[in-house]
Amino acid sequence: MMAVAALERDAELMLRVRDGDSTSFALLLERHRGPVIHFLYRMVQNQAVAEELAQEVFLRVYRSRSSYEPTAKFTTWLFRIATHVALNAIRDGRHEKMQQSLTDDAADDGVARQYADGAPTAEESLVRQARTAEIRAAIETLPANQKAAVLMHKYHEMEYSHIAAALQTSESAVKSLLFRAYSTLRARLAHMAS
Amino acid sequence: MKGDRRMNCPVQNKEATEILIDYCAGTLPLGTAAELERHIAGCGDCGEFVQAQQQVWSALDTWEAAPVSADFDRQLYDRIAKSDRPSWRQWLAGRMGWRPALSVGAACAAVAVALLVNTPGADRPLPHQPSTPSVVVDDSRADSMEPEQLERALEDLEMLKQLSPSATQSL
Repeated sequence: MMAVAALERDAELMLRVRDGDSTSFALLLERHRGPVIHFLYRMVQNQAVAEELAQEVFLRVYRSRSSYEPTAKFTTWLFRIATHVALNAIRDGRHEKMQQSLTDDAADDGVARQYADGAPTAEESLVRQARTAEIRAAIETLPANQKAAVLMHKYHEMEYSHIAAALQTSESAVKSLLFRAYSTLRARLAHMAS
Repeated sequence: MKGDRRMNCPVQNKEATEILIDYCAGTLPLGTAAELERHIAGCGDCGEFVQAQQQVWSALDTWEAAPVSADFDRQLYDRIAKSDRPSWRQWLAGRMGWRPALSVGAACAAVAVALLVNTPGADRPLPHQPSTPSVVVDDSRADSMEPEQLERALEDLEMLKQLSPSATQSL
């Protein structure tokens, strides 16, 4: 029931944006800014690049306002744009540049959590940093489509049909992508059980 | 459907492993989850699969995303404002309609006027005239020429170059 209400709300807001209401665009941005940036961050593993790409995503949303029709769920449409932008960035090599700062970003994560968690010991911090780095590396080994599917499934709790729409593929293809991706991750992260 | 799931071990069927993945993600309906749990209790393969998948799930949970920059919105609105501002080409097309020939013609006329005003030869004294008075005339012309006029002429020239490179070459 809440999901339906949210769907209607997003579509309604976007229709208002189409009619020239900038406040509705600000509301949509407020609701979806975080999820889009977090998705892109995990796709490209660099915060600055993720934010740049997220701006591109919202700019595209804004530019396509006049032709918007609520034929699909708004978030599905939004993630389709985000996935497209991320895959293009990875394809055109911005991704390689991103990888150079992967280690720096991993270190930043550790520092940020040290304050958030209430001062863990230096050893705990290092262990946590190492674990995060390993998870990031494991995700990074996945082909881009598998990575996108896992991120939408795990972190955004999207249904198979919505992931399929975002990736512009079939549901069975999504299940296959997830099956292969999780197999790889199980093999790579099995030792982290303890 | 549920009966099929119970009869066939999900691990034996690649396509049905989605049930185990859904179970670990917590998205299975309660009834189906309970039925699967009964199966897992007696099936070593499924138990192993679920344990490994849950480990992946927990590991991924620990990867937090970084906070969003404070000026993200401002940068976005700047980009939107820039994209909303029409380029001079769009502005010109909007004003004059999409008639390149007319635009080029107007630009040519503007450049011709600018060249006429700027050409040093236009103010050169005739051979039989004394040179001193002409210098005075030159100075007065230079004084009367407004900077905007010069800027406009240069802009027109630039516009002409962009609209029709061949036209400028022929000039």
